[in-house]
Amino acid sequence: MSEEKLLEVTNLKQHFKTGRHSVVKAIDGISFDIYKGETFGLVGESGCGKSTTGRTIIRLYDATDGDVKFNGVDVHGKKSKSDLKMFNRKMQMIFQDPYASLNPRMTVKEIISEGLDIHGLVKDDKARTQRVHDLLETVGLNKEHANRYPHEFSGGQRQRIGIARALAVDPEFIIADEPISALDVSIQAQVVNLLKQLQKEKGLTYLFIAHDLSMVKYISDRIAVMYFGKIVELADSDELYKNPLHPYTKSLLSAIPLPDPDYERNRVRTSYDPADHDTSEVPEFREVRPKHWVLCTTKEFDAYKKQLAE
Amino acid sequence: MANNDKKISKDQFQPIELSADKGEELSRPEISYWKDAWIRLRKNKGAITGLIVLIFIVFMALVGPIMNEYAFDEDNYEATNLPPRVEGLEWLGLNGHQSWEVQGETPEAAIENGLTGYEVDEQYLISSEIVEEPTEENNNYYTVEMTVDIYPAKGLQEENYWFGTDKFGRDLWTRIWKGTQISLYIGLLAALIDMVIGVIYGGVSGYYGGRIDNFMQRIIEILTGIPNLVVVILAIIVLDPGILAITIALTITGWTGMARIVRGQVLKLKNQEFVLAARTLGSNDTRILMKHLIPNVTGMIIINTMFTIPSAIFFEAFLSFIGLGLQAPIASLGTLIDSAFDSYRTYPYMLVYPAIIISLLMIGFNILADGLRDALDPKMRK
Repeated sequence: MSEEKLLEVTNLKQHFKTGRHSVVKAIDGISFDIYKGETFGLVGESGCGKSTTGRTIIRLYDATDGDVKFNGVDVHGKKSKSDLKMFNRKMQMIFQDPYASLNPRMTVKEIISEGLDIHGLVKDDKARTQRVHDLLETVGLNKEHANRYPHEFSGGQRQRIGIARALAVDPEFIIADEPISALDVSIQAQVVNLLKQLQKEKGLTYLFIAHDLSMVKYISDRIAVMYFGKIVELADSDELYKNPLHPYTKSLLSAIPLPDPDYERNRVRTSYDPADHDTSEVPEFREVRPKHWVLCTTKEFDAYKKQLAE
Repeated sequence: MANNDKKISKDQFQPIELSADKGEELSRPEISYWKDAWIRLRKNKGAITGLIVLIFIVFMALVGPIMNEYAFDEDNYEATNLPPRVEGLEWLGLNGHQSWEVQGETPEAAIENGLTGYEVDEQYLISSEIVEEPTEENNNYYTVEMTVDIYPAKGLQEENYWFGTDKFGRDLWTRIWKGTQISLYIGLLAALIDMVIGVIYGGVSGYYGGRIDNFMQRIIEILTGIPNLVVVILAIIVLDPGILAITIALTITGWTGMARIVRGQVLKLKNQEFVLAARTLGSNDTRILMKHLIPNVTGMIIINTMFTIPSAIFFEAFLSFIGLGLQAPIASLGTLIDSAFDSYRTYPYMLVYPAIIISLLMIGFNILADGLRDALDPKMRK
């Protein structure tokens, strides 16, 4: 893992108008950096804005405010067609629902080769077929599957087709939007291991969105915890698990079950009450310890520092 | 156990080779969407019957007018109001015999009146039957039904009009199949308008959404708010009544139902993840619409088209029937029924044949559409 920043998100905001006067602040000013070659985990409860963050970064939604820089270049705002195409190649996405993410009227070959055709990466049909076969092999499927339709595959197989589609354009950065939450546990491990292996082979960088903390810990180098459109804590994954500071992170961690009866009998689940916070000032994102950031007020900041020193 | 005596020897079994790849293998044969739909459609007897009836009617509409030597607008005042006669099918009643009800003071006088009135020589009289005895109500006249062999009586021993002739002596067989051509043309036109204008309009409206969608939907509401008949009458004022006026009326209003259905489907599909995936790959709007959205609506498009066709055919027949449609000498099933309606008690054959054809067309399209709906969209099956 290098210290080179691949993606810089600064004060990103995404507000949706739901009526004439009501606005949903799905993302409310978040900032983080993702380094080249790392896996950045993004966790949080349902509806806290994780998926919206991913989709806004890849420009499926137009951001209300804020910057997203990819390799030092701003990727939002008006862009020329060729710039956009370049950006589309560099950044790809794996989707949550393997049943909804593949067009039921297209064969696997058509699905995987769509990116190849859009970006003109193959000269003729022979090269296209060859590339599709290679990609299928990369994700552990047979080349005989190329002419089949998606409904013939299982959830895990479909998710791997989705991964092959994303890989077809040789991306550097992949946003994995809860890629395993719709799969059963044995298949989850298969897909996560495939993602890890691909990262090693191709030097990919991931933004891994999930709500399953144990899986996120397994795959991520750094983890950000989101709550109601804000990142409340950001740290290396080991640090976050060892020293959770924000009460919401603590609550999340206390909810992880372990297959250990002794531990389970004594596990105390702490609940999170947003009213417990210090309300004397607007909380800010502060670095409590190198590389460990928490959303807190000055008072809380001092308290957290003391807590870490103990 | 019942099958104890059946010995199963070991060599009937074969061990399966165990390997990691086997888990990924698909044993089902490759079946495409259309093949699957065809298999389901083939099982539906009603739909297949409808399909065969339609194929027959289309074939006859193309071939029928050239099967005999008469032209559809060829008047022949020697051969007016002739009943059907087909050589070899006399036993079916297609023998060219015409019955009239005539009145007179005696049965003989009634027949005499009839023969002079219809200018038929007595030797061609086949049978006569007293229908009504004299009463006060009918001035003490007898009512007699007399049947004559009308073809030789008119000196047309050599002619055979398969469906008879109308009051101008035009061959109804040719006219009916010509009229079917018009009906099929209207159906085809309606389908084309649906598929082109309706699908594109609905697709664009649903895909872009927001203000564009709002605006486009208000236009549809205005169009559907105007009664079709008003549009036709306006078209007739500007143009002459005829096929062009009907075509324009259909073009203005015929596609709105399809546009609404496609819009609804596109609205449902456009936020599906496979569309998002196409966008992240850099697909432009045209590609997403044509490759991802429309193919997923084809089932609905075909079904809806199949239901539009018969209603368009009936719309034309209705317009012709009330006199707003095609004008003589052009025949359509609607005008044929309209002109036969005046004298259907005396010459029922003029009404029966076009009525049967238009009924078969409507029923054929409807049951085929029903079958297609089940075949293309199994989830909608009740």
